[in-house]
Amino acid sequence: MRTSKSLFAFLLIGCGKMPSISDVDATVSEQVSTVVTVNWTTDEATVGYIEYGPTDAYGYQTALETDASTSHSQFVLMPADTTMHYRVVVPVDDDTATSKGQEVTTGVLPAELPTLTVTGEGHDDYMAVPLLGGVTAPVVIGPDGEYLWYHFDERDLDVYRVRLSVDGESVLYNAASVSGDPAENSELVRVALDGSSEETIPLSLLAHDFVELPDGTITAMVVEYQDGVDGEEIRGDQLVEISADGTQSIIWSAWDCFDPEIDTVEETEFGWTFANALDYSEDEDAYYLSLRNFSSIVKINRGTGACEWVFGGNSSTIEIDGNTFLHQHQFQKTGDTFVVFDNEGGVGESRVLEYDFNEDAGTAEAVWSYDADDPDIYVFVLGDVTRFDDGDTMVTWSIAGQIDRVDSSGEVLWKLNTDLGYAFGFNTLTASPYAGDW
Amino acid sequence: MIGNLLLFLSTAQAAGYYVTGVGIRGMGRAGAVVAGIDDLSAQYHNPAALIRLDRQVTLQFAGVHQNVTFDREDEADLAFDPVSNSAPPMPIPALGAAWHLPGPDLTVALGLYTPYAPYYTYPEDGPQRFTMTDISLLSAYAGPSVAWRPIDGLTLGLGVAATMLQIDQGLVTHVAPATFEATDEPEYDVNTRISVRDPFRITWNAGLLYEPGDKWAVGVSVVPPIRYQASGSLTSDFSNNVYYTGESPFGQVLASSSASDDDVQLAITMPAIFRAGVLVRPSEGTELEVDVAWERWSAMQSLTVTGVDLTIETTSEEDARVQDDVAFPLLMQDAWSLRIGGQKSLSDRVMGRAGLLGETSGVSAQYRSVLMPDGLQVGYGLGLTWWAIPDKLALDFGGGQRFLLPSTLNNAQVYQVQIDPLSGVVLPGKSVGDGEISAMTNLFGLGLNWTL
Repeated sequence: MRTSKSLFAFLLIGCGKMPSISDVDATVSEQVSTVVTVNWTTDEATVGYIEYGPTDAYGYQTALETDASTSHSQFVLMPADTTMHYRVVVPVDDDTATSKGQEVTTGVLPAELPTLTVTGEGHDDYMAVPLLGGVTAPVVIGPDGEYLWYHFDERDLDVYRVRLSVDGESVLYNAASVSGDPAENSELVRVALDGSSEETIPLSLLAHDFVELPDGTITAMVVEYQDGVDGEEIRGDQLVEISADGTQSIIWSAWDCFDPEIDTVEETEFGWTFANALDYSEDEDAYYLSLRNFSSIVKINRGTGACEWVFGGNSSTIEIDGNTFLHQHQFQKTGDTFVVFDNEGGVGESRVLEYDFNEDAGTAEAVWSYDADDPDIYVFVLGDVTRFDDGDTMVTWSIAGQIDRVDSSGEVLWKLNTDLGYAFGFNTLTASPYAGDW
Repeated sequence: MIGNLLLFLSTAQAAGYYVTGVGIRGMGRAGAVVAGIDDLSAQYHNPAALIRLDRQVTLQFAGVHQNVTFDREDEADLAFDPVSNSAPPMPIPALGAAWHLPGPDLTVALGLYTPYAPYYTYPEDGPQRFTMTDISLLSAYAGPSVAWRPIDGLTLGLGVAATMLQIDQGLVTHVAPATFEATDEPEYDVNTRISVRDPFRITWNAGLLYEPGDKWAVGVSVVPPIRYQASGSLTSDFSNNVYYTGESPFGQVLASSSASDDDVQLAITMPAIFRAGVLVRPSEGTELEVDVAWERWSAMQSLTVTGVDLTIETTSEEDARVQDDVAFPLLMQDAWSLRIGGQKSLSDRVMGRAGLLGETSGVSAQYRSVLMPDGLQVGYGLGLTWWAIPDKLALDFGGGQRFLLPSTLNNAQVYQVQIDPLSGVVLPGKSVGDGEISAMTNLFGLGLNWTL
């Protein structure tokens, strides 16, 4: 794996001499029974990783360390209550130095976690997703539906988004409330992967979603109130960036792009714009923001705060050919493909819409849709969608407690269900829990 | 004189919708009366036998008391206490009159009778609640019958009746999103009531009696299927469901504590019945009879509430609409019964009766439930007639018991009715029919026959 990093290791340690790996041990976290900390030392500065698995054939591995050193430590996420084999691997040139294989047994899961049931196959990604309802718990779930990480939030708030931090050392989530008035005591929470520490960033009126940029900047949706022309308070939204040093900056306001006197909405129960989902494009340095009450998704230039286009709804600057969405939540734009979780555009059920999106021409053609047939599923809040490179689509039916992976024909390949009384928040997918690119 | 009184009184063998009936004298002979019935219940068993009556008025009351015990088992190893129904003895009245016209040698009769009107209640939080919490079923028949003897020994009988059916059934539906595996957790319960009525339907029956002398007789009768088309209301009470109380993962989803649809339909086909009996009289005052009966319950494959359009108000912009049929699959099968009974004069004023019966089940094993607690049944009857005023006033007493032999239900196809509060989809929930079921029915009755 990672040829460039292997080359980096080669340059660091030279050729011909194999490093010695010693003092290898594994400790199961007291806070998270599925997290194992593996420590080892080498007689020279190296980078390495852990291979692990249910047998001595291993099959899984962590990410290669980025900084060479002689003292090493990595977190490994493993299924609960399982004896796992592991060893340290240090790439050297075209060869590898490995430690002797060892075993570690993880702890049992807390009884509070609901049962997850998987049917089908064909899914090999990892999910960071909040559990809501019976518990409020950000969790990481493996391809087989196994819990690999968990944390219980006791703030009496909800959690809507979970992300592994870009440095791979912690998990970020938002503790907030979107039911009724937003919470004054909402905050962003950072929990060390082994559960040993927790830091918070208080941020009142947090909404559903946030992103972490590659440089560690966190951008969160926050509810904003302004007075209208008649003195009546209007509930809009803003984007707040929190830099790595903790500085908070309002970088966008709904009033920057919209006018409540012009861009009116019929349903005002949830305020004016009611932002409910956020994505970030590193290539474009732009945010994509979903505005529920507008039934619109807006592209925001991060540098200028300008709205480059509005997709959907009465203020749309994009011409839509085919199905339109209503009160959508999460979405994904990759190149010319735009998939949207459409909560209420279908007849009595929610669905996913795919558009062939031509930004230059300002057009979007609906080319594919998916709705569950057996049974029909209606999700009035949250909901998420991700398109994979192979054309499959992951659909998170949040309140219905179900996650489907479907192919382009609409066939459900893989399905995850939780117990009655629980629900999922937004779903952050990755091919590896160690990649640092959630 | 108008004629004789008649009642057709049933000795119901099972709860719910599975009903049959015999009269009080029939009760005493365990139903073995197709060839030998000699009171106004001939209107039910074999209208040709009305020819035996002269001028008679009948008033009868019977009581039926059935105990059903269900010990539910669950594949998830949930533990349940056995549950039994609460069913006070139920008085069932009937009356009628018959009049013999010697000229044409025929008897006409007019009767009003209620074959079976059960009212059962079970605990609202019991493990059977997904099938039934209570049921009241009332059916009644009223109409004329005639028996005509064109030649000695051979009598033909025909009856026509107006009939009605009224059902009021309560059960608990499981209201939770269809994507979740259904559970027994009571916070997802919704008390649901189906109240339907078919006020008027015409039916008929016919019979034949061949009795060449005093020594023996043969009787046959047939009842066509009765296809009730009942209509009424479907009401759901969400007040204790988490999606109304706000204890669901997303707070209050249902905006209203109840929803109703006042125009639903329930089609019920009561079975065609064919009865045949052979009677011998080995000595004066003594009768022995063997009957068989075939009931075509296979005509009833399910109970399905149709025409449902239930709007469930939600806190979101779109209300949920339940428009799927609500079906209770039954997959019933034809039932056979064998009845052996007789009577003997015990004195100038007293006639004693006794009988035994055995009956196969009309309900396939996987579909049995407290709604249809059927199975192989055995029973007996005892009775007597006391002539308080010779040739004028006879008092009939009857009683008996029927036993549903305990049966273990595995792989039951009895499911919760689950309603998705978000989409309104109706689907089968979890299987709730496994366990052991048993029942015992006590029958008793008193009749008064006044010969004019």
